[in-house]
Amino acid sequence: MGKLSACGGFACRGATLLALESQIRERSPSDSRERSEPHDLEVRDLDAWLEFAYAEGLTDGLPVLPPTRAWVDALVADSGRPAGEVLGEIPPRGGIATLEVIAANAAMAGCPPECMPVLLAAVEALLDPRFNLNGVQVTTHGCWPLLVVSGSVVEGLGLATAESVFNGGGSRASASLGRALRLLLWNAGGAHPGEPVKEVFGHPGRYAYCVSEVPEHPWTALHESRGLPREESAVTVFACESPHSVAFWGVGGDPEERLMAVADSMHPHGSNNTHTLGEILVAFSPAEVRHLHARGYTRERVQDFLYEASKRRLGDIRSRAPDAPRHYDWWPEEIDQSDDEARVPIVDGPEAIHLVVAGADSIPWAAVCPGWGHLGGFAVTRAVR
Amino acid sequence: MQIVDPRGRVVGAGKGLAPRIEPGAEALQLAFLVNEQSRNQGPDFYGYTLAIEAALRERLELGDVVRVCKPMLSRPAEPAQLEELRHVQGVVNGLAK
Repeated sequence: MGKLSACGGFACRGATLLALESQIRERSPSDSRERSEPHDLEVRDLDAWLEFAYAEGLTDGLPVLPPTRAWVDALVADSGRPAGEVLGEIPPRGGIATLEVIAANAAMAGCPPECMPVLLAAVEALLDPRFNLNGVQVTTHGCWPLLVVSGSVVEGLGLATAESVFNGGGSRASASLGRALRLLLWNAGGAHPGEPVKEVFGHPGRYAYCVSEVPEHPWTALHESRGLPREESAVTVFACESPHSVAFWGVGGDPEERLMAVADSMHPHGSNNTHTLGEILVAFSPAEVRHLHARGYTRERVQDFLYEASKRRLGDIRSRAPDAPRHYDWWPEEIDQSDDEARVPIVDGPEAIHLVVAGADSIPWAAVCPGWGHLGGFAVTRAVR
Repeated sequence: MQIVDPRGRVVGAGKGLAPRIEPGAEALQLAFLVNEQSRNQGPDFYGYTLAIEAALRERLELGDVVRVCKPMLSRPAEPAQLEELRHVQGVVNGLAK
């Protein structure tokens, strides 16, 4: 790094900025007080860029590549869309997500140009009001947008579907897509811890959270189950916790016995879903999907079974203590909230259980990703154009 | 190296504060924007607004107070609800800290 100190954080911001003054100059002579107007910067070299990125808070702590004008222009060109096209405002800060801004963050993440259509579809999905992107980012809850890519684009881009699928599986495309989204929300969205993000514990997936569905499996594809033609490729975004492992301990081959093990992991007492419904995601490894399918369990039949099996007895999840809540506004009207024996669903319906086929094609396994409950982060699917 | 700013422009940045209310004017018309109707978990937002109103009435001449409850704490208020607040001189909203 040579001439600059390697503190790399906010604590030494003032000193770093002083050191950088002679190495970085704004290309635009515009008023430096107007931080809302983006402008190109000139940085002497990679060392100066890294120090600048940390000093300006352009990254969440991990190093980032420089979004050079040439690379950003190439990313935009590969998207086939104009640089100035606006996809929307990224909350909570409200930075305008033009193609160029999205590409700049993709460049910082090392995103290959051919991934741009997937990234743009993901941003469009996140900006759907149903997703409540502002709330997802600033909530005290530990959820984060998971990108689920499905369709032929998975193989075409070399996206990971097998071992370590929830943390990129060693694939540049998987890791950089999740990372690009994170950086966009960090930079354009200003979703920084403390102010305004109030997340109590955090989520490791905030660094990058992208999985892809195995292209060939006996069930309908995820995007097909959500209304798109099978031959399309798509991105589904869903705000959820990190995956909770479900190994099939102590059960035989009976599908219902095995799905009961999954249902048991879907409704712990402290889960938002258990108390407020909403949506949930369950990943099945290909081997388990083949096992279920061979016994007549389609995607829809598994959803129906899990919906019923994951219901909980009201008296087990809500106290009758005088200072405990007496009424949940979001529960369906048909539930008698004075009856401890009432069976309470943990999601809005069978279709709110999003099944994804992913993971190593070795042994049967499952993973449950609880959602944010009724508050938002609901799944939104967009075709990759 | 020529670098592209990844933050994006913000429309409406730098808007000024609302005009100050002149002291000695007529009774204040205040509103409370409440995050949720009932306390199901965490802070009692509605209860806070009652306490704040009582404290303010001891110090200020308050007129009618408007209370609007958001349909869901995690989402912005609905446009129709914001319309209800348009005529008041100040809106009190809670923010966790």
